[in-house]
Amino acid sequence: MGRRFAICPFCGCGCGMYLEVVGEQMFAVLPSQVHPAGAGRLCLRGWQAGGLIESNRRLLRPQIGQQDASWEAATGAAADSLKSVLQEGPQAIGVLCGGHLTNEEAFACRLYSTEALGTPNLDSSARAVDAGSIWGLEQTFCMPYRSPVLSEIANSDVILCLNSNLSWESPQAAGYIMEAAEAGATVIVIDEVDQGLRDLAALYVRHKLGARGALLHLLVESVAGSGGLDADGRNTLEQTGVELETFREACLLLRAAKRLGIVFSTTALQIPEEAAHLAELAMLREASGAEAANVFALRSDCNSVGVTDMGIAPVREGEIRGLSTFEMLTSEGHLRGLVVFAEAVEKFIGEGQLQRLREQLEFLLCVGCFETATSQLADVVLPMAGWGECEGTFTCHDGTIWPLPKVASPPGESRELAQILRDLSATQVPPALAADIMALRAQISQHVPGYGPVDWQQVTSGQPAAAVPALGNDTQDLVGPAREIPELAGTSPERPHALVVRHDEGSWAFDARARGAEILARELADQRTPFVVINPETCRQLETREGRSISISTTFGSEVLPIRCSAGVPGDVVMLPWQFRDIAQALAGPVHLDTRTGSAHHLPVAASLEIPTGT
Amino acid sequence: MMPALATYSLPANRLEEVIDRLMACADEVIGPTRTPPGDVFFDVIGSVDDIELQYGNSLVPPTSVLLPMAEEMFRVLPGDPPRIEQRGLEPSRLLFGVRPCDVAAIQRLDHFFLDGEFEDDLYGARRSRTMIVALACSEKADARCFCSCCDTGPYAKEGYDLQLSLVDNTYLVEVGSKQRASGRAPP
Ligand code: SF4
Repeated sequence: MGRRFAICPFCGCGCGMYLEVVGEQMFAVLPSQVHPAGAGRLCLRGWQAGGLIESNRRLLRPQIGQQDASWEAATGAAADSLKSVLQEGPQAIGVLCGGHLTNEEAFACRLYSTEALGTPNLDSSARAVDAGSIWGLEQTFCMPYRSPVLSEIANSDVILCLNSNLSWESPQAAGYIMEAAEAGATVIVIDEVDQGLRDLAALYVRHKLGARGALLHLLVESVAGSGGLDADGRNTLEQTGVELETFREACLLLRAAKRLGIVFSTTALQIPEEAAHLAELAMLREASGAEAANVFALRSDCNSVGVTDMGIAPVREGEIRGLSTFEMLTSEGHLRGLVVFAEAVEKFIGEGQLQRLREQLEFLLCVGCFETATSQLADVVLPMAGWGECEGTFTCHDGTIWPLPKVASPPGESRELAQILRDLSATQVPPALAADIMALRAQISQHVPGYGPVDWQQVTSGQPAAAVPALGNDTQDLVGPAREIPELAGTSPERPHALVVRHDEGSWAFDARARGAEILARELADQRTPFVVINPETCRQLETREGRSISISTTFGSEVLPIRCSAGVPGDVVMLPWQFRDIAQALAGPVHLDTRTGSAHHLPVAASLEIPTGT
Repeated sequence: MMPALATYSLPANRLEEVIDRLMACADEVIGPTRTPPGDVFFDVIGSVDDIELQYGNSLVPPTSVLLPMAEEMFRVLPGDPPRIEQRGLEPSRLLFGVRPCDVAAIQRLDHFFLDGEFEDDLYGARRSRTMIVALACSEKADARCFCSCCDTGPYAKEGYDLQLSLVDNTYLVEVGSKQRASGRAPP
């Protein structure tokens, strides 16, 4: 019987755990009591981490054109196809990496992309989600952003929480908010929809869709000033849909906070300016004598920080402008070849758009652990070792680096990613990749800012080390004048409702890992069939009920979807879960892309609801 | 409650010496140790320095030594006909530093696996070759402890071979089993 320390392979909380193994079989996952993120707790996902190793959805053999092939034939075919696409120039190829690659894997991917392929189009799914808010924070703090350890949330006396769906997005953080509330902390929840945390809140501030930026701006101004609002401010406040009394109370609570904790998940806050307001708020409180004012931006994936530190980001130097995730996946006809490492592209654009993307690509290479729609459409599939099947490290939200053990052999013919990359690049340029993991770590220390002093021996023995990179570029002032509250697209008397696309408990439903771990796959099964969420009262007014279908029309299109009811969704709002990507694009139009960061979100749109004819 | 068969006092600074001597009494000494990140598990002790005395509760209770998550019951050796090889003799074990609540838990396991109509021989084989040195809680080990509600702590009343209770700078050593009282070697 053996026991190895590991970091949970799922969300960005990065809880510490132990894997109990006998031989190569995993018997249990145990939460570490001393790890600063989990402190003895794991959420449902974490407890199921072993399911990744035992998954029956693993890719087991290399494939060419969906037929099993030898490694030599598959890597040879991939290298030849990539060479052929490269004849159109390095811009013709894009590389997309999963946010759960280890630091070592991510660094190897970066070397492969920039040196073997020479493409500037390199990005990770983690950055696609996190970059909007993290960039906003960094511009305002003028330093690289690292979150304080999550357990610090519990020490706050006032918590400002920006998304009520934290219990799914970052369960551990929601646990600390509950702990703080039980100990007497005041929780303020600001959200357009209530997805659970309102029950904990001393003050729930509901605003109109799309009005969060303006509301945060007013809050910063009022907390900085006397607390009052001039006529313009009152006018803006009215447009946000927030009552003056509620706003005043929020200001008073924030001004009185001694240990302020500002908590949000990056999935919820894609607009850099909104994150910048929050950073400003924290700095204001610290400047006015608060003991602490911390911003906890909760990352989307287990190694979001590490993968980004390793340089998995679009290359942008001088004239060169690499494409970000959404640009790669949605740029019509631009890319000719796409290489995907450990990610399910359908998670971002839906299976419909993936099909269209596939048609425009000459070549799709999928290197991954699990069967996904992406692997099913790939020209070449190369199966890789996953979590628990190779040594590595993760850099957690607070910048500490933790070890990941190898407790089982990769299944079937899967190989470690670094080995796959060496095989792939062997036919292109002389491989720059180090031959073993310690040499690869030495390369990381040499090339990755902030990782120079890392004692890798210490990390692998189970004692974390910290890495703090420098902030590269000049910063920008993002806390400008109050933004206008945008009018919803397609507003008209015929469309009295507003449709919002946002994350809910099913955000994970199409993630390859969630589908790979059997119990998680089962738990999330009902989140893979499309539905919309409306208020029960709206249902009653429409003379329909939960489970029946409703027709939703916007300026972009119409869809008929089954209804789920939630009292947390206001009567004039229709909530469409983010994971139904094709439907989201059909109803809310293409994602709004922030070209500065590559982050993307759907703007809310006006909508009408009616009972479909014939029902 | 079984009264202690004998009691001794031991200056706290001589505990390591005693642990060293106890280590020679069994094939394996299993005690609380810290992993590099800092969690406490009951693991085989290589030297007295590995033992962590300042711990609250271990992440996995020491009952797992007697009732492991996985165990080899027997081996089937290929052949014609195949042969079944039974397990060899269990090593003798000294379970050191067990909290009183865990001593009570071991007693429950004993009752369940050994006292009923059916005896679990694998458990019994391990248990009969395991000595327990309890470490009483002179203060609450963890904020969530509730032993006083179940009368299972902070001192073990029975179920131990030796119990150590720190009083100021001295350990009160209670002898709970005949083996230790008579000075016999452990099983
Ligand atoms: S909160 Fe996140 S890191 Fe922690 S156990 Fe759950 S999924 Fe894993």
